[in-house]
Amino acid sequence: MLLRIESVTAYDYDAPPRRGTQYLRLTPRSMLDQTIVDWTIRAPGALTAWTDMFGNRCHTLTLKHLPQRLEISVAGLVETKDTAGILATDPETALPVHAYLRKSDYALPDDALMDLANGHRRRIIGDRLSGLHDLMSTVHRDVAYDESATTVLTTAAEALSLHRGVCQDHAHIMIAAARILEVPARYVSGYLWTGWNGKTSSASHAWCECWVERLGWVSFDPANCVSASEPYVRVATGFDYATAGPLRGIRVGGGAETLTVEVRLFREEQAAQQQ
Amino acid sequence: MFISWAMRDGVFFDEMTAEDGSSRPAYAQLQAWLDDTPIEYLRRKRDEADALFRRLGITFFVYGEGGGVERLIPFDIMPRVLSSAEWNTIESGCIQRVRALNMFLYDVYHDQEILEAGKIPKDIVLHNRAYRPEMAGVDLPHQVYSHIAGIDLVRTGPDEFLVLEDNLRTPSGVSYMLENRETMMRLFPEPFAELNVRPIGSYPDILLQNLWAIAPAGSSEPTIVVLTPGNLNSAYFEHVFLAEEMGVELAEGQDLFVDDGHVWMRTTEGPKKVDVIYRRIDDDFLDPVAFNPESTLGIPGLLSVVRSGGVTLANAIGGGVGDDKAIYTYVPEIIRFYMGEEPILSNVTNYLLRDPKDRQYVLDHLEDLVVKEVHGSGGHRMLIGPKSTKREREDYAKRILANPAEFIAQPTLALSTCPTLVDDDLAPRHVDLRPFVLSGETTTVVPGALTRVALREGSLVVNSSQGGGTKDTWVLSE
Repeated sequence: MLLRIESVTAYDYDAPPRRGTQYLRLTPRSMLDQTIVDWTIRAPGALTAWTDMFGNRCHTLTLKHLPQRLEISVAGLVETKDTAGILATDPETALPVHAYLRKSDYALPDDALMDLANGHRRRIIGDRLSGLHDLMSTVHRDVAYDESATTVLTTAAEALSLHRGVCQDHAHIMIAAARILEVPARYVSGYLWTGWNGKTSSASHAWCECWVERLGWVSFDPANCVSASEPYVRVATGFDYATAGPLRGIRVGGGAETLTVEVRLFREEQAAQQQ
Repeated sequence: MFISWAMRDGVFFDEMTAEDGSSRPAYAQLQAWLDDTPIEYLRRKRDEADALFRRLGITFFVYGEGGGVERLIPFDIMPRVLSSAEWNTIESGCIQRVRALNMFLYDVYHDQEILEAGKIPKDIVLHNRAYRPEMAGVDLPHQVYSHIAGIDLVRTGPDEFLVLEDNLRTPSGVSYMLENRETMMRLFPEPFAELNVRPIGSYPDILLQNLWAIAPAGSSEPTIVVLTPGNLNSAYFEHVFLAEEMGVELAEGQDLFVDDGHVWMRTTEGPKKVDVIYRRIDDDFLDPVAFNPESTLGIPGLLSVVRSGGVTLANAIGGGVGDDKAIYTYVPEIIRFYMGEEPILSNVTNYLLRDPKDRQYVLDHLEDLVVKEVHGSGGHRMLIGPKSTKREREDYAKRILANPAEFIAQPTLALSTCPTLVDDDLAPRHVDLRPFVLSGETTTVVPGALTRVALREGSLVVNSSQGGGTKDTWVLSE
């Protein structure tokens, strides 16, 4: 599937901040299931490219005087492929798979997460792949989609206790449960195309990937209870939202901020890629 | 750092005086000089030394309730003497250790060969708080992570030097080593001339040369800075001292910024590119975007410059996984694995409380052991078995059982003593030793160290925050 992506992330500050530094994880890389045909990123200042420990294409944005509205936009064309959710190994991440068992702030275990994990322990030990599919179904069933219940700061434990949340929460819960069962798991932030017949759709999305011996990384989207396929574009991976999220920064001055993210995905004709 | 100890039948190895009352060879000349020197002369010299230190302003902060208190660190004018043979063992042992630990650090941030070989459990390294995933895959100049290391040694017998702790992050104390020597040379010019004490004054030059050697490729005249958390830090004096000795700028986080893939220093002539940062700030506070967002001490964006090789930090981020108390047990194995050699210096036996067998042993022998937290430092919150009450041991056992992996235990050791001028006479006091190991293109140690001394009678706690002082350390040439 050939997908054109246009996205604008905007911060509106109470007043122009004096200075700020942002790490941007907004540039996808080509992998087994996706090829980046072209990609541009724009910001009101110089962007310095670097690669983080996960292999993500990052940019550092340093601004001396920020505008009152800071806009960062990306646009690009990505060709995706259905690999049945199997990504195999990821040679560009510098981290060993075992490191993805590390505890991370958004996915710290608590009693309820332990119970959730332990309910799937036997299945996962017996057959990791189908056990993880069961775990995904449970998370999907037990945590209702609700945009108003949680925020970007909500942890897996908090969302599970509410039984409500968005894709970020579903992903964190599944990651936390997987790690309790000694299954390496990572967070994926990206885009999901849900439009049909040329209609656009707007969707930043988050899901997770778990390590299965002999298969490598396998994707699970507990928000939709499927493995990632052609409509999914992976932008960044990490331990959790804190290290895989699209933006992370610090600023001096500016007061409160409002964040808005606009995403549009268009399905392009296959012919376009053969030009 | 904290010294664990105990009276092994009340007998300690005294470094100056043998059991039969004669002086040991390394101290023979010093003893002869002392025999001709009235005690009043030593007392007068001690007062001179105090005045000198006060004038230099060498102080340290003691943290406690109600903020820090500035204090003069006690200095003892009786030097500690090491023979050239003793020093050779210490020197080669410390160099071997630091080289192996740097190879270990390179490995755990690259292919993890030692973990794949099953020599160390993966969890201890990869799930360690001091392991910084952010450093995975970064290639550092000369593959050095710990450019300045302080190896804490204790002595328990004629040829028994044991490593108590490796300090690979931001070890402090070298300014005391250098200032103690300066002071001693002023106070006692004659014995210095007679005893052939090896000089240590080249330390700042070697450090500077190493910092040059680790500059990113392409920086022909590298700019080096010392990064300090500021004048409220307990080691601020040392930060100022080292910057001055090397002739480089002392900077705080707010003096530096990241732009265009480099670190820049604000100067009156505009921004100046910085190539090497000798940082005396902990990992967590270096970059608020990557680590602790509350930190105002660091430089936002620094991690991105480190990862792309635009600046080199000394010591590197993430080196702490090499001096973690849980890793310490494996250092002999680390030396064998990377160097193919047997360790020259031995470890103190360590019991890992994460291990059920060790745990049971420790819980059964709390009275004889010293138990400390894996991540603790400075001798706080530890259990000193022989000096504890039953109640304290019971409370501590509860803490251990709540989180066993956070604790280690060591047997109590009979630390050596050295003659020390206390009140108005010479008396034996317990000492430890911290040589400073410098790594750049090569790994070296200047022939000297910081000797810390427990000034209270019978005490084995040498920490400056708990009544410890320092001495000059004399390494004799052949």
